[in-house]
Amino acid sequence: MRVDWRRSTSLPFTVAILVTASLLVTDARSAIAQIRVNPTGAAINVQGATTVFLTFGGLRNQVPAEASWCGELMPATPDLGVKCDPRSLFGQLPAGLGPSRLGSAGTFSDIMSVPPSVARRAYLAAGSEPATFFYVRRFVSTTGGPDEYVAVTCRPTGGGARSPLSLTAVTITFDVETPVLHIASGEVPPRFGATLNYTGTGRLKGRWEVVRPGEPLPDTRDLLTEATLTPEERGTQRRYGELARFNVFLPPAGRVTLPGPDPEALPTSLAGTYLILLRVEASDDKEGDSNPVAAGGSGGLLHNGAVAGFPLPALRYVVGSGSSALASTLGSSVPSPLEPADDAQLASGVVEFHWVPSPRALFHRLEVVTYDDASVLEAYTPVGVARYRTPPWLAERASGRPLRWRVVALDADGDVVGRSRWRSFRFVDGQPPAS
Amino acid sequence: MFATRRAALVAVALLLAPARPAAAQEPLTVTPGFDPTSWVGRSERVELRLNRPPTDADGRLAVFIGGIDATALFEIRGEVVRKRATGIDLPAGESELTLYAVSADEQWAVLSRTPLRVRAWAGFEEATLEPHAAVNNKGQVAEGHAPESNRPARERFQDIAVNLGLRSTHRRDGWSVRSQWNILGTSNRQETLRFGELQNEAPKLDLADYLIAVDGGRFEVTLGHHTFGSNRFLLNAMPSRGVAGALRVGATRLAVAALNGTSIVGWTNPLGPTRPDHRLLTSTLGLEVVPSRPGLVQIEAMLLSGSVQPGTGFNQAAITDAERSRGAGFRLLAQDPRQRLRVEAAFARSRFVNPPNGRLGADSLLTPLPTLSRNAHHVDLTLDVLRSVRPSHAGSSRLALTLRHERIAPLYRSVALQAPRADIEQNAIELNGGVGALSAQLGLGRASDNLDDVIGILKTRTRVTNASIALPVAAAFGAGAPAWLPMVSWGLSRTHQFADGAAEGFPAHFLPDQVAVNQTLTVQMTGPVWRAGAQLNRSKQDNRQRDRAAADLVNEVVTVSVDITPKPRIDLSADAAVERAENREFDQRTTTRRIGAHGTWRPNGSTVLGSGFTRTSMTDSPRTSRMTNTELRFELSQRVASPLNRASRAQGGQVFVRYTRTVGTNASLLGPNDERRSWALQTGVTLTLF
Repeated sequence: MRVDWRRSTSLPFTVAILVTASLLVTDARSAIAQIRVNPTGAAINVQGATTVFLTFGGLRNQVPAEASWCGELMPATPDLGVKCDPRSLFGQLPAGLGPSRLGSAGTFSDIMSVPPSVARRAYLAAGSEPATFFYVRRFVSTTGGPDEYVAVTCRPTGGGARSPLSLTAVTITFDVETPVLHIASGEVPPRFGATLNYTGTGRLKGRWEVVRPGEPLPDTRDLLTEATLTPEERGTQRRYGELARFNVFLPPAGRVTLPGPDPEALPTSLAGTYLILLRVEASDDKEGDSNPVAAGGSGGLLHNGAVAGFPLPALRYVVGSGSSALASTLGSSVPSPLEPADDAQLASGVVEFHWVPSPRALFHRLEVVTYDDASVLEAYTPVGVARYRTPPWLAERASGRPLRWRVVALDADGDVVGRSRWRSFRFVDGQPPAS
Repeated sequence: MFATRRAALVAVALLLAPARPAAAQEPLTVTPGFDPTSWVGRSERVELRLNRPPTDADGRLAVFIGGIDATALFEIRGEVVRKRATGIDLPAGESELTLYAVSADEQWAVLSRTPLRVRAWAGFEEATLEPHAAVNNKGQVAEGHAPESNRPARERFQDIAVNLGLRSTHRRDGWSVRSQWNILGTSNRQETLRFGELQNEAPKLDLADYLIAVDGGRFEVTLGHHTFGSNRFLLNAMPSRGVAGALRVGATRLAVAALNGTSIVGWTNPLGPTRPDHRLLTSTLGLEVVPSRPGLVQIEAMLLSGSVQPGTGFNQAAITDAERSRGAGFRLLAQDPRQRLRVEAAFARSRFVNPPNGRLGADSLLTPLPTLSRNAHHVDLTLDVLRSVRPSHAGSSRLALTLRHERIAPLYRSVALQAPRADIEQNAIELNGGVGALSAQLGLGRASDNLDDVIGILKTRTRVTNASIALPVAAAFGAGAPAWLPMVSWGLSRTHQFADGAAEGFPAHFLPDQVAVNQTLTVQMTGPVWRAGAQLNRSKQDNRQRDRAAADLVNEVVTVSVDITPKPRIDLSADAAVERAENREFDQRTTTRRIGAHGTWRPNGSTVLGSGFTRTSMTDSPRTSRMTNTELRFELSQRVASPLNRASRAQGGQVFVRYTRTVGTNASLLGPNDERRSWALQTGVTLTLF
């Protein structure tokens, strides 16, 4: 529709005609829009990242292009649908799909990962405008037709119970300060686990697996969580030797540490490089459900609990050569002092030290020093013995000075695998121990 | 490992246990089994000879080297007390080897004092240089699969991998320099350390990690991979590559560090903090306010300035942005002289911005993001209401009360932390106590978000109740109770999260009102050659908001496991699990069952035969599909001694052959059935040069 400015009787009348015409055109274009999406809206964490599984359906000779987030929409004329108002743009994703995939029967499984900076813009915009913002995906026709824009409503929240269960950051580490663990053949590795940041609440379930030397390596799709895959891909990821299953409840708290299985389950008899994989299965999460039928596709309701916009990291360890002995051990692999309590006042005489041993240690070494780091006593204890009774002359050697003690865990080669924190104590002559 | 530990236990038990009674009780006399006037090597198995085997009447024997109780490092065989062949060497320099007889009432009597001279190298008290090198060939020699779509990317392949390392320690006059380097190489690009970051540009021989630590007593310098930070709001136990130094003067400690923005591997950027747009600079000043009473009042002040680019570190994955922040924080640790009242508090202020980087489109087109300064703080207060006089006494009782408060302002963020969650205020009260071996904990917490009550952003409140009990039954019954009696623990967590009023743009059914209850019961038992465990977990998500009251989820998980070592060379384990998930809204139930069995047989010190079997099945009701996955694995490895050093376990070779078979089926009522089968034969040879 075209408007001839020169034949218009007056400017207000012309403007009215223009507005009416554009609305008519927009409605007409929208009426023939093909592509639908499910879910049409999602609760988004505005203090961090969120990932949502979206199913677009009804694609006819169309392929996905870029996607944008914005605070307001406008007609996409002359294209179809509504697109982002460029004055309220929060961010734009390039045309690369990442983990998103075209599916069968004209569907597109889109993994929408809202970066923290986009959420930050949405939060700042919320004070003066309606807080709801939008995710708009553009689809390009391969047969020369108009582009089509499809919008999803994003409702700002704190990332709690109404947000989809999505993983936004995953770190897998051993309790050792090294990116790659090197251990001797037959040695029990330190404990390991994963720290996960997430939105929503629900069950996190899956498997710990290990890739042994000589096995084909997992590819990028193998490292995605199951809920990130298209329906056709689910159940087809390559499987490796299963160490243990996990199935835990995640409260709406945003962060959890998932402990790995008993480290004695890790294979260490064979030399070579191993990979520990965190394989997360899709769980039932109402907020993350996506219905392909509602989007114009086919198939049953998709449960997408624990969707993630990235491949999960693999934890690597090397058996047989090399050493991580100098790297400090952290967490539960470190011996933990029990008694005497910190800053205890003890009577002269025999002192009995107790600690929780390190599971990696073949020996423990008790160290008692002054605050000038002068050694007063050292003592070795074998595996299975987590206490030590001192000779009676310890107080005499202390000469009234306050002392510190700690326990050092040693492996078979005498290398340190962990040190406890220091505790202090002092002798009070003639008085009973005050603990 | 089990065998090694058992041997160590037996040997030490022989030394620590009172010796056999003897008919004659002539006084014990000791003669050195080495020349006290000569120097011995650090790994020398020095020995002392007695005139007769020790008896109960002599008490237990204790061996001191200087001020070190080295009893656990020695073994007693008849009349000989000899240092065991452990990896723990004798201390370098001149000292005294003293043998004591310790009576049951802790009277220590000197039996002998012998000068001990242990050689040092080039004047070093300790000097070691240990190179490591291993070459590994591994691959898949045969493979089968069905159907054709199950064809692996590489059907048959052979890969070469190398592993190089160097470790050194030099110690002299209170100084020490320690270093550690590990380098990994592989012919398969996909296996390289940085394949995920650089793909086909990833170097095939790359630096995995390194660490150089110089300790001069009052100061320390560290280069390489380390963990930094102790402020929960700015920088907390962050692993990275960098340069750090610490200086201690009296009761004051100053630490500075320059780190890479994320944990990295590889030759590129060997120091770590060389990219100004992707590094962290931090300093911490720690002070003991009362030097004469260390630990009474400690104050730490931290400064942090950092900038990071999008991307994650090694072993990490996340949704990231370009970020920059500057922050300052304080931490206070204090307690009263009797340690009944303890306080831990922290405060931080961070000035944060997402700098332009073009990743989310032209920055000039995006709505502006201002630089914002925000605060975060927390206070934990613990009071020992009841404390036993003798903590180890079986009947003792204790009770501690803890109050917690934390507030993190909206949009608070530090570049060095994935946590904490911002825009939240939390308060909690906890009771920790116990009687004897029984321990219990009760916690009540409240939290709210959207602290600035921004219109249009959902505001929620959260109520949390936690309770747990743990009881080591054997300890409860005293010293005479059987050791196999179980450790029993139970935990309960109830979380109620609900919307605080309506929010603009939120339909009523979008306002959450959910109660989640999670319970776990665990039983663990340990015997002389076995251990067993069982766990029952149940959670229920009870949705109560409008239009969703029926959308409840119930999950139950039962797991059992048994590990047995019937012979020192045989390890067996088995486990089973049943997981049930019920979706009450759709009246759907999903059941996952798993069984697994593993076995290892070491017929001699160099041969290992291992096997494993797991089967997982998943069915649903009403029945739409049944999925099963079965994996079977056999593995045989043989270690071959080095012809140059047959005594060394570190050197030599190892060969292995492995057979794996996997079957996955998906019988679906809604679509075509699918069965995927594969088997593979994999072999490998490893040559450890040194």
